Amino acid sequence: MSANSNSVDPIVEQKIQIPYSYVAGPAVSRFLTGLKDCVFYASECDACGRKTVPPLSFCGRCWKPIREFVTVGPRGVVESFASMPGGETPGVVYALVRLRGADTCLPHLLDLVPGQKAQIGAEVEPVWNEEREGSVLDIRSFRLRQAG
Amino acid sequence: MTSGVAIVGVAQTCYEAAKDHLAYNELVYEVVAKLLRETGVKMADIHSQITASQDMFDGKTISSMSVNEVVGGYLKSEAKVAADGLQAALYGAARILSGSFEYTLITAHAKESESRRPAVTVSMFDPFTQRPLGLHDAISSGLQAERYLHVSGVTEENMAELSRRRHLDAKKNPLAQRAGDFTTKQILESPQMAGPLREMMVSPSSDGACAVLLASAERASAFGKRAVWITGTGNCTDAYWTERDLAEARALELAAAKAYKAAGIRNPAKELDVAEISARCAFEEPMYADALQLFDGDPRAWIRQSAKGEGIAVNPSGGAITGNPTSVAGLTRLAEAYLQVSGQAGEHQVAGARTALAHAADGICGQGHTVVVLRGNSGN
Repeated sequence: MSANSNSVDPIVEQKIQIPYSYVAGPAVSRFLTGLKDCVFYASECDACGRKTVPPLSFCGRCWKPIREFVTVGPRGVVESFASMPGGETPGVVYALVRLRGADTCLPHLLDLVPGQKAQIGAEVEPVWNEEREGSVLDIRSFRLRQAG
Repeated sequence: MTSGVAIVGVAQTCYEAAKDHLAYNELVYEVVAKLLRETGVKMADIHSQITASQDMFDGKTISSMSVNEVVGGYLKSEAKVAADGLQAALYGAARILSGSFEYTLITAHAKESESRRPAVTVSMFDPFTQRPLGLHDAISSGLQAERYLHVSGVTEENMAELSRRRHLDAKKNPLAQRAGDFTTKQILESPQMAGPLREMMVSPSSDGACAVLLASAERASAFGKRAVWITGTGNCTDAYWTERDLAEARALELAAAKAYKAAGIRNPAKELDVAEISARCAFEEPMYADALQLFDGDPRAWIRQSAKGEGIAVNPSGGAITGNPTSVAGLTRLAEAYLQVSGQAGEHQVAGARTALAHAADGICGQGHTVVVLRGNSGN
């Protein structure tokens, strides 16, 4: 064995890969299933009336179970957005979308055609994939609604 | 039972982008050894330890088991919080107030350089509807920044002004990571991170550790001016990031109200001499300073004033924006607040500082907040 400590690499490269099978539970399952049919489900607390999307099985504010599910959207309003650096091509734009009728935001991608600018308060609509499997990626992105 | 809890000493590593020469438990040893050397307290007299760290950054489940002996926890009572070290300090103070312990050693550590921040922070997000989009904490900060700018009227130039001032102040702090006399133009032209945030407006990836020694009133009496009293604490958690308005920090308002009430502070802007606020990003500082009632009215006016070094001293250390690791940043604020009110802050000492505030933020877009108010034994 060499006594030369310089021959030892002091940095050890490793990756941790752990498989998970996350259980969505009844509320989020309802949401994911709804996406297959291009429908957004929200939970509605019968005490405070708050509509949360993706839905919850309980209202943390009223500390009550929720049994009501209602549909919201599909149109919504941009509550905030963030463009990402993209190098040579324009970077992707993330948005927080408040779906019509909902009290919370859904984060997703915002698709802008050349010349369009993201804006807080702008009205958007989802662009759905042809093939849908019950995933948030069934929504390809949101796009700006044309005025008029 | 003790009549109060005091901080009797603190120790920090310098903060660096990559400490390639030491493992994380060795960083913790460095600060604990320094703390015992400077306070003269023996490890044999410390029977309570609380550590703060993130398993995902350490790359090891229950990673506190790797620092247990380093903090003197061998066959003693060590507990870990997976949150900012400032929360560990709250638990430590509660342990002393219970009458069971005379000292509690608080440590926090992280080596962000050993992993990739986006890869680590993506796991904070909801696995069903958020992770598939590739969200990580720079993106959520970008979304929050755009929302805050929209609602408050604060501009990218304002963020650059504040960032410039903090990096300039950091030149007087020998432990600061990214210090310098930058221009607002350099800051505005630094590479984009997300949305309106530029690299020079966000804490760089950081490695470091911090230790704080808490003592009962009986033990603290031997430390004279080096004993600083915890006069108020508050902690509060808000809703998940997509279920609240990201332009305000209501949990911080409530945490601060509790801490101020306990400390007997009615007008924070007048009664506090120093506020060390955990703001990783430039926009967080005015948002949090507002929630802490450090100014009244237009945040742009406060930014202009604070960037000139006027008004209450905020982050005289340079603050987290110049580089502090996750979970360490808030305990660093406590250490800096302690140094100020005990007159040991050296070149960045605020003259006559007697009352100071330390703040920590946890979770996505500052979901949780912790506030501690300190009072020194005499003016300095």
